[in-house]
Amino acid sequence: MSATAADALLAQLPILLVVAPLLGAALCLLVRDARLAWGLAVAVSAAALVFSATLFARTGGGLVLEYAVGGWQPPWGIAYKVAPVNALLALVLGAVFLAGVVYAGRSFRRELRGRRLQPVYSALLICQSGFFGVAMTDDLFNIFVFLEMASIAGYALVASARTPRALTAAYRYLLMGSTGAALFLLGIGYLYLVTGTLNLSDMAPRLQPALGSPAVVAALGFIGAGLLLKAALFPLHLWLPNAYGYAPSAIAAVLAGTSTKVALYILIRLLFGVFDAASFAAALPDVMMVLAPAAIVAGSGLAIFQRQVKRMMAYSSVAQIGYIALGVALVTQAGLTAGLVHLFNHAIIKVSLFMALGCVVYRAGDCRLSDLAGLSSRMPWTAAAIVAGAVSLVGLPLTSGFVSKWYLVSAVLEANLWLPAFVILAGSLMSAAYGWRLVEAAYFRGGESAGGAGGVSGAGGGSGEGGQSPVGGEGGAAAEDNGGGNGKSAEAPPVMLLTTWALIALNFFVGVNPSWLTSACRGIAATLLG
Amino acid sequence: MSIRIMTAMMTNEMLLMACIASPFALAALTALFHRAPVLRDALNLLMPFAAPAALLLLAGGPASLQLTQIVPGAGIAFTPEPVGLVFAGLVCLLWPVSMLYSLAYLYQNRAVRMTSFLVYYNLSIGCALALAFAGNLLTLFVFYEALTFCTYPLVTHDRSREALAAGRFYLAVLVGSSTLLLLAAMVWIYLAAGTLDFVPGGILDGRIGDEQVKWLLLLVVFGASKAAVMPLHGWLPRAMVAPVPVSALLHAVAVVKAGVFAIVKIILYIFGVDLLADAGAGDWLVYIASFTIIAAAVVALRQTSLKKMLAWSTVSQLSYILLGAALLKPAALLGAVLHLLAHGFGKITLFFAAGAIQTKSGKTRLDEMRGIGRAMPWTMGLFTVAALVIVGLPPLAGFSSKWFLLEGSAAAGGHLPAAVLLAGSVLSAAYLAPVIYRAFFVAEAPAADVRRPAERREAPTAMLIAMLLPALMCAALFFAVDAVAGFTAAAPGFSAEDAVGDAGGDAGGAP
Repeated sequence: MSATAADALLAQLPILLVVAPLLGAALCLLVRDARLAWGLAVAVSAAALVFSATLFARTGGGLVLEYAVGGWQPPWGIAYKVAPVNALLALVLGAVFLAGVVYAGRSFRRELRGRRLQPVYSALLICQSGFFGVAMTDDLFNIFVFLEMASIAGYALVASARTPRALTAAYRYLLMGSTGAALFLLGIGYLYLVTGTLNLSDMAPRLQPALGSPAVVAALGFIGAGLLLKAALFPLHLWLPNAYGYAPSAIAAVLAGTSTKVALYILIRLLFGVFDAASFAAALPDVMMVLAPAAIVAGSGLAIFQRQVKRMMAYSSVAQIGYIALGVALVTQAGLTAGLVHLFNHAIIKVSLFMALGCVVYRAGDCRLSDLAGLSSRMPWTAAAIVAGAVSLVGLPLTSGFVSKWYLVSAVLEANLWLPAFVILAGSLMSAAYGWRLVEAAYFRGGESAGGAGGVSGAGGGSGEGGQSPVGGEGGAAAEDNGGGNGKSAEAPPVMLLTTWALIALNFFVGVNPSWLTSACRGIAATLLG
Repeated sequence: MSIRIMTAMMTNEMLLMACIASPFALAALTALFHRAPVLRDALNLLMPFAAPAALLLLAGGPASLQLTQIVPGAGIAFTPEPVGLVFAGLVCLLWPVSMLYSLAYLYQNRAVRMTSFLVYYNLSIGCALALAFAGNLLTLFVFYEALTFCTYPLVTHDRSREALAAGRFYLAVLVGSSTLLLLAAMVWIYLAAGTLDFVPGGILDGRIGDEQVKWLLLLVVFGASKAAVMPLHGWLPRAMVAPVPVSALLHAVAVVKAGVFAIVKIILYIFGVDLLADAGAGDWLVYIASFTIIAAAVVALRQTSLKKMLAWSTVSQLSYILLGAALLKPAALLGAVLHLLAHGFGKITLFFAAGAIQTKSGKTRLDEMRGIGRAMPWTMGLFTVAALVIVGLPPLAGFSSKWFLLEGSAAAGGHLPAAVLLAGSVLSAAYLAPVIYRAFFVAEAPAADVRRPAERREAPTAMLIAMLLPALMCAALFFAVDAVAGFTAAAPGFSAEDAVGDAGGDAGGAP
């Protein structure tokens, strides 16, 4: 009895993931108190994380959940279908949105001072609903609609900072995002023309006989270009650095973990599920194979020279998208596994970094490199979080970045591609170069005055900085202990630190014990490659 | 019966865990008690004896720890084996000694940020111990990298512009080479063998072509650039801006030894001696190690600073160990392992003496060493003993190690290695002897008051004890060569019947 009730509830989860945030968005506009709106958003996001984690756990055994919206059976009605790949994306989205929304409470109150926050939470939930919709649905047009719903909310969210730079960035994001959407829609149109269906499961077999036709070639081109634009693969990344750099910190964090990942997810679904990536559509992976190493080198190289740290991290994202694309472009079991693993890992690493930077903005008002000076004594936990994020980007062992790097390098070497392997490793060195600029700024500049006066006595030893990376977590503890000695610590609010460190803990957890993630990704890759 | 075995196994594993965890625990306690300096210092003096005690109780008993799985078939795992135990023994013996010296040095020099110094020092020791017990290549790599990052704050401890520049260079070379080369080699090995476990005799036999073996060994030797093989040696002399106890850590206890240990371990347990010998892959390593031995010794001759000279001497001496490994003969391998110990004990005394001189008189340049032997007779006496170890004279451990290296090179045939070994010893005598001569037989400064006998300004007792103990270990090791030979006989490539047994009798009994 209870088992069937649980099953009945499980069957409703896909639609709940879309509807709950949408309802929450509407409710947010109605409540008078901004804190209540925040509470509502947190509750909805927490529920969404529970739902998506449940889906991830349940589909792990090979179960595929199907849901016909309104009772209209596919291929006529809109079908939701949750296979492990959908559940993985939903899990990423759930984790990022919950952390982001919780974090946003204090961050918005500082960065969007004097503004009505209800519409911002509402837009955040609409964005969430749209991305969950993309993850759940099995209908191509539905994917487009949800993607646009989330994107438009995203443009508004970037613009919510209301600084001239943010508005310009949002406008550019809007123009390029809409161009991408238009191309994507055009491609969908061609596919519909050829197959007469929009249901993904239905489309693949119908497309098979028509694979060589000009219409399908055009569809592949348009869809590829549109989605790569949305995914910000170099050189189509131009909207990204400013959008992430000038958006409010919480928004930058959420978008960094979700928007490009969702576009890549759609690309993976279409490439492997609809087109035949190994033969007919091989041109697209070939193009990505060229662009991805370029993205790694260019993104990391540009990141090194940024002075605004959020923009530095945005360029770093351009490089990291290159890593994911490189894995996907191999069109092998190992490569796709690596791409999916890094899709997950990069989401949590980059979100935690943007959150840590948001903590700096909270106190310093901005986060140029000079704002980081002496951070280790002023905000030891924030500084340690930045270090933890930086070492994960570099991919030091015991961080999730190492797991990604390992799978990527071995996938590339397995395909006997030495140059991309070199690019991956060189890219991680370049990320060490810009990560190191952060560490030096936080630990070696402006902190001297705090340590100098201590003199000979033992207490003098405590007033210095913690120093280097928290390998195994020890350094983080040391940094905190030492910072406490100053008595004038001006840390960010605990709730912001807690969410940041929760993601960092997840990151190290994956780094130490990644088998649950890697085996899930391997299963997904095997399914997608058929 | 089975229960008793199980209890014994559990105890062994717990001892292993205790041995590895004790430096990390001490680091945590040090951070915790940063406001209680007396307690902090007492802990740092006493707790370093925990690891050697645990190691002694463990004494190579079978134990194996599997903590987590990071890639399929490989995770964090610890398994003691003879060569690793020897390295762990070196670290364990020198840990208490260097903590004693560090505390004395820090207080004498009124150092700031003492807690942070001690925390990272202990973390580095922990990384070195974990690396020594690594049960697979991945674990070795993890702690190899961690060691770089734990030593970085020590190298830059002064926070001067020069220290920061040296630190940046340190990281760039060590992390750059390990990421670009060692990691690539590791992935290659994993793809070829399907595992990363350390297996006696290697895991690559029959899975990789002869030509590839050479390239892979190239990646490993230059990837583990902590071994300071030329041309990736520059970070070591530059890191001399660090405080003296850090130099000791770098040169004797952890860092460079971790590099050569990693290479030796990979040769023995990943490649296997037979595979390398069949592929002839050791040849170029012999040449490159020979070149490093001679070139670095020549550079050492031309130094004007005592610490810099000792650093170049380390570059030269490390390649003795690599040369021994590259010869792939049992006696040479035993010589390599003995030299790992002998050089560790000898070099730490030399650095401690240099630090004592700097602390007491502020002198660092070689031409300032005149008459220092009269002011600090004990310090310079121990310096002389340690110098004899580096040169390789009996009855000290440096003689034993070079003896077996020579024997190994004779077994391998070819005159080059033997000639290089002897020339290296002559050169080391040439750069070390002038220091001793100036210290004891030249009056301080001609311009100064010559009639007044030099004032006795001996180093603090704590520093002297810290110098004396490793010097004694050098002597003890000379007489315990048989024990080491017997102990390592179980390791692959060290097979006792070939050369070790009777030659060990020669060296141990003859003097």
